[in-house]
Amino acid sequence: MSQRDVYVIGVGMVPFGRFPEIPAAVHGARAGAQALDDAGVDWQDISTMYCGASMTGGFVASRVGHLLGLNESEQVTVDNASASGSSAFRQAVLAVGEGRTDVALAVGCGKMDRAMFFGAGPDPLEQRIAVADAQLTAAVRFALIAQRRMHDEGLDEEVFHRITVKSHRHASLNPNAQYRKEVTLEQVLESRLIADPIHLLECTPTGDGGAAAVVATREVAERLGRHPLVRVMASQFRSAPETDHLFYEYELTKRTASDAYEDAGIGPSDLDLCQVHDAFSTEELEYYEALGVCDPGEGGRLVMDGDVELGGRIPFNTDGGLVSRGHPLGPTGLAQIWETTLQLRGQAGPRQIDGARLGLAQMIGAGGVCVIHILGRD
Amino acid sequence: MAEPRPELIIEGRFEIDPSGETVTLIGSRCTSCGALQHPRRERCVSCFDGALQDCSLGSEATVWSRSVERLGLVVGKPFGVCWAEVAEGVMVQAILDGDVDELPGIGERVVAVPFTLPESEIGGPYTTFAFRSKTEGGT
Repeated sequence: MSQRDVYVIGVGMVPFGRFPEIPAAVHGARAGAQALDDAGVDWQDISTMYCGASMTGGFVASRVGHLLGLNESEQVTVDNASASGSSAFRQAVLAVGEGRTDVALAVGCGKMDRAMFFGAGPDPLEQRIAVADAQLTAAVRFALIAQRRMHDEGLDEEVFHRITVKSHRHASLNPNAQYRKEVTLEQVLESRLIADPIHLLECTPTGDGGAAAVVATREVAERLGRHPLVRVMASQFRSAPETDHLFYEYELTKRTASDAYEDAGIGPSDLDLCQVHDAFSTEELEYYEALGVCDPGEGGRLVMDGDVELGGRIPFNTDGGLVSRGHPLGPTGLAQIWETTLQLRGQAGPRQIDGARLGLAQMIGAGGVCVIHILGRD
Repeated sequence: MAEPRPELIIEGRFEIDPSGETVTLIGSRCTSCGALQHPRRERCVSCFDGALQDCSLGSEATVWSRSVERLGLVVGKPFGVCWAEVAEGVMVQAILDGDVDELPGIGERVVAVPFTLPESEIGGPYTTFAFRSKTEGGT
């Protein structure tokens, strides 16, 4: 992966939700300060900071940096849509791994408002192109993928609804989740249909938040000695070939995961937990197979058998995932790192998986990119 | 006399046939590897070589998947959406014209027709295309 081993020595996260009175950069600075405190490192000691942000205005890294205090370090904004936080984390990992610095900070912050006209932004021409391509919302593409799977496998849509119930149950145990109430199967079905078979409760909410992580060399991690050592065993990134543009998420995740497993020297059966990009509950099922935790066509059984729940064989989205924990774009990938690190340290409270030693975090960024990190407790 | 159609939502992706009842999709063919693409490209994304020529991709397609967009964004009411294969390896996402309770099934043949988008937050009205079941409307 890189020339030096890299460790997660501090994590921070502010609750995700709708906070119209709080600017996105403030969420980022608060999460960054938490991560620095958790690591026992001063902001003035950070020479490299990457800030994941998307659809959040300009020069976000500088705005977060100014709020943290005087520091003339390298501060770079990273925008990769949903994968912005994961990309920022990867850049921090590479900065330490390649020997450019011994300690680096990755921050993510954002506010996701009404997401329309897939990736078009404010440009009227790009909006017309998106509409010409019938790309009005992201929900439609995942509904189309789900419909095809239901057709090919005879899969009952109840499977998707049960994933939603599971994710909300996990989020109810997470103090930083946007939705902290369990929902029933009936409540999922009673919520508004958005794009068949996806109901409102199966969609990631709009909202705000911040999350952060400090990474460092083993020497620094041991010197500070504040937590069990959590090592970044793999950091992989792939972009989708243009020819895959309609349905790239599955194959892209499969290829990126293969690289990550090789780097980490493990296989999917070794994992204790996974965090994935479940912008819609139907999407989560795609990654059970793409990550290799089950055979093709077995994802539905995994759900119905409870394997992906806390207490199951391989729990997914232990913090509630995008659907329930929330998804403000910039910080989401770092929220995954926050959750995975707490699990590996044994500090995840009521969500704790006994003896968790290996966790995987996967994010998709629209367009698209896939970022996968594997963390392991030494 | 028929009302004139609103302006095309985007130029160069499709042409309305002289009959006014069907649409021909426009794409690119790579003169080096033969790959077809839609929409038109400036370079071949399969072989990264060769010159591209505009080509007709015809009016018909096979539904790969379909769903209903219940929010009715831009269109103003719930509408069908599909991924349809218009030529080997060329998948297009498009609106499905017709009753959302009677959408064509996966594997069914559909035909591209002009479709009017009402005035909305993106401007308009505009003319785009949609697919419609081949068994519907005598096409």
